[in-house]
Amino acid sequence: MSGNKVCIILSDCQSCSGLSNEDMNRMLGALKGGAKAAHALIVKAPCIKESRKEIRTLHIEGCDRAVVGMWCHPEKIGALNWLPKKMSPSLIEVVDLSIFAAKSTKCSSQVDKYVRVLHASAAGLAHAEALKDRKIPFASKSVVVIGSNDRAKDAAKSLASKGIHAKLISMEPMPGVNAENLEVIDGATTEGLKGIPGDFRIAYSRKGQRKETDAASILLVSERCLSKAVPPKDSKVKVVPLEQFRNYSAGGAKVKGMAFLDDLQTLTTAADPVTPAWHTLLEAAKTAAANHMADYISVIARDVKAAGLLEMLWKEAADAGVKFIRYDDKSRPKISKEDSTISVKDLVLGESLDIPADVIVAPITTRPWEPMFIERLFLPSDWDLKSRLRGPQRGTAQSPCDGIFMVGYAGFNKLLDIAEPELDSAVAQISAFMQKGCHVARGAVAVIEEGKCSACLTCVRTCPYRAAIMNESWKAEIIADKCAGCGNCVAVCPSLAIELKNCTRPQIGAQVAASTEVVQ
Amino acid sequence: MMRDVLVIGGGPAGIAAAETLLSLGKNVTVVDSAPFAGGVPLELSCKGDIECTRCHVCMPRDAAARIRPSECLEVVPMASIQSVAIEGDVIKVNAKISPRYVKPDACIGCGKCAAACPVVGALVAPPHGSIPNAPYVNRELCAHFTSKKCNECAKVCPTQAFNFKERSKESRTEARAVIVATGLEPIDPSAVQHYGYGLYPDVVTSLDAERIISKYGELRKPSDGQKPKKLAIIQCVGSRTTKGGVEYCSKFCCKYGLRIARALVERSPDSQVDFLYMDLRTFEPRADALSWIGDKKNFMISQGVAAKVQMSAAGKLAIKRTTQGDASIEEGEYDMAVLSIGGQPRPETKVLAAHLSLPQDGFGFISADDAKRRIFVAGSCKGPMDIEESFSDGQAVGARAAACLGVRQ
Amino acid sequence: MSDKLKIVAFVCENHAMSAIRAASIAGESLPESVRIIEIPCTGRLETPQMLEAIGGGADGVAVIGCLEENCYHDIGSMLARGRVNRIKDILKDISMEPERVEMINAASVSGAMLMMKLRQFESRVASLPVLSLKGAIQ
Repeated sequence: MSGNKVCIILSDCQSCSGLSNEDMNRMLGALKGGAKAAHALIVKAPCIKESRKEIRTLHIEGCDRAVVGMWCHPEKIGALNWLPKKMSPSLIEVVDLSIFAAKSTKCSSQVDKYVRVLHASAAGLAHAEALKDRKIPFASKSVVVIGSNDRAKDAAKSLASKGIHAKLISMEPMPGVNAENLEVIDGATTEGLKGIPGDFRIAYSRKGQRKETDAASILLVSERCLSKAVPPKDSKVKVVPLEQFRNYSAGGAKVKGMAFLDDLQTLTTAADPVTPAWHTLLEAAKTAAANHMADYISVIARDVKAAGLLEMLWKEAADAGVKFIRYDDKSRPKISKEDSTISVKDLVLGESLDIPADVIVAPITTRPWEPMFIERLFLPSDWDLKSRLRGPQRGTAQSPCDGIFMVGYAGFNKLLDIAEPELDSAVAQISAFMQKGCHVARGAVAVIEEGKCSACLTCVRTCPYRAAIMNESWKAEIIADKCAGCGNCVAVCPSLAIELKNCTRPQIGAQVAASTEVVQ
Repeated sequence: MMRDVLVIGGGPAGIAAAETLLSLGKNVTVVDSAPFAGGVPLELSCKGDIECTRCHVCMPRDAAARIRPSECLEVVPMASIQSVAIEGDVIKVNAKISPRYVKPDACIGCGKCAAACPVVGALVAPPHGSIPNAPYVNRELCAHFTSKKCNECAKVCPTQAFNFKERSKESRTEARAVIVATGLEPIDPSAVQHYGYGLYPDVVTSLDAERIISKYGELRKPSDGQKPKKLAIIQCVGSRTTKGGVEYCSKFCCKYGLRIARALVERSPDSQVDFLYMDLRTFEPRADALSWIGDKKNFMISQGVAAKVQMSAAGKLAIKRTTQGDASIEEGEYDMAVLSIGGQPRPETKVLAAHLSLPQDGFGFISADDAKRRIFVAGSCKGPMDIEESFSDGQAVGARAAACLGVRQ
Repeated sequence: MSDKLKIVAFVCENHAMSAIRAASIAGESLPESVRIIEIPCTGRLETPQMLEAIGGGADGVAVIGCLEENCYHDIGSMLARGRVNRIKDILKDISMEPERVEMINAASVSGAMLMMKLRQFESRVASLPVLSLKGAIQ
């Protein structure tokens, strides 16, 4: 492709440019006589706003792309709404010349700068090969919620009550969960994900059979997979999961000691204690003290995370008689095998204490997500496949993929009282997403050249949007409707088989050449 | 003209609510008392150097920049609410708008005025993510008003966007629903006298430190403009106390204190940073919150309440604190102290809650909303929250308000 | 117009560009020598393209992208940093100064800090001996 004709649109609004008449004429002359591939169209108007209609209906024979130079911030004059209609948005480059303004008020010296900037953009755009943006209406009307915990149930019910068809895919059985607009698929393991926002296909296996379901959007309410609370070997203590404490308190007899632990693991491993549910723990301890469930009630924790207004609950629990004991990493609490006590070195007193603990109440121990689960769902993950997900902060529950939302430990580790409002906000965002009803596929996409692919899978592993897949002929293919046009795959392909349509290699090369040319 | 929703307060919660409402097809008016809608995050700085530290300062600001061009969004800055009345289904709000002296629609964002202004702080340029994206003139500092009749900014402005004759005006908004999102203000640290705020110039609050970093790109001592060599970050200032401050825990300070510490430690390897805390109430597990420390030599974290800040004989800040393990007291010498200050409800929140008959708790936080009368509450005016939680909450409340107005989702 | 210092800055269209815009509206414009090339993501940039800039006569190349772990496209700036480090090694191998190429991470809110880092980069490059390649490849 030798390069197409690029139209340079610029108004001579001297008030905003700060250029004098001579400078403006000099600039217009330089633009016209510039890069061979460019066709400079100068719009004569005191302000580019007044040429709105003219620019919108612009049509120059043989010219399907434009560089629009703004002397002001494009957003300020609503320029983003009235660029040439006949041209694909990904073939229009808006250059904000105001950022190149000098601190000093003398602008003549800036003329060369402005000309160079516009020529560089035009030279580059000449090599672009973008497709047109297009709107793809959602093929599915459902939302899939993946998760086995209470929050997953709540989310699914909440969506269903808003009139959105919700499907709950859960590994655990979900008896008694039914509502209008809600479909429960329990005992199912999610296996894979394909498709584009608005038309996702989720594969799962249930009772030995592999099935598929459709969704416009997906909500991951995971949490890490949970394992049952296991008391330490050979000890006489009874372990009550914190989540079931309410049932326990109804029928428990008075004991000598009841200890609330921040994490059961802390007795046996050096792993960091994870107590997401401080509100529940403090309420439980307070209830235990108020109901005299034991002679000695204690909370043994690395950090008492009674943050925010929970501080008052902590005070209430302490006033009710609960003892708070902090330990540190160098001296973990240990359970004794002979009698029911926990020995821990108190940080303030500096001495070892034996805490009576016939009953230990602790949150259910968690273990991290299986890395493969992330891979199967084609979500972005660490290079070394750790279970931490990371990504850009576009919102509290958003993943890089449009239409896929994550809450709870799916995003980052957090306290439960943050995870819960996050869920409400995720439901809010999903409602808004479903309201949109269509997915905008950008014209700026990456395309793989046939025959050059060496099937190394690098692009498949790199793409943050999982738009690169291996097709049936075992060659890489980019799903244009999913591609966000970032170009990361282009740069990592060892066979140089991929090109980004509106940021091609010749395009960058032309801009580099234009930027480094010696101005005589 | 009737609006769908009026959002009172343009901080993270207000912006998040506005974004959600706009995407659900509602038209929104956001009213804010400050010259820019954007809230406290507008004054905060990014805490990352190479890696993002998830301080969430950019999240609401990027969201505001995204919704700014929307035609269904109206933002009224510099507004002071005079009265709120509910007549049937309509909520009517009267506000007094202070003059900005710059016409936001005329401003093209060239920055020539900011470069020409001779007085530091008189012309305030819009930080990223503020609405409107135009400067404002601080009348109290501006040389045009104080006496010298300066006109430097107006002279260089290419679009004559300056109008020094602008006056206060009245504005009336009618809406079918209202979201109160008035947020928090910092606790006054001079109430905590023993930390020396206001006495020693190099004792600053975390908010002051962020402002310095936002302006200069690095932390500098107010006394001489140099980078501090030995710095103490003191947590829990003004929170969790019954003397001078508030009784509750402000929730966000552990997270931000550590983020500030990390930013300083990583950007200035030749500065020593000591972090003094009471409890580490980070939202992530401790190991994750502290994993960045690695084997860095210029950072020390210690669980021990800082008791006092005084001036030592050598003219440095002497900080006495308790250490864990034994109840002994240590004293260290520093050339700068950053007090991690907590937050409390604004006085405006109390007034608004009274106007709208919303219940408040003993601390002044609004404890319930009134969905029947279409009055909702979002963000940290309900209880201490950090930016991420306020933003999340705003999104959720925005959706609830939209649902209440009868949109079929 | 004499042959002045030339610094080519590859700027990502997301956070980095927002930072530059915010700084310019605050009155801090780009240094004279900096020429901006806007790209969708710094991850798009390939190693040869950075070398092309130097070969074409740029005294310094700055790659300005989002903060790592908050990259708009998830991994772009991290990949870019890896490539910039490789370029530094290549420059060392051909007896050129590795300080000519630098990766700068910027958040959308860090306009002031980005300008400070750009000015520091500019002065560092200005203090290096003049490139003998200048004007050779045109």
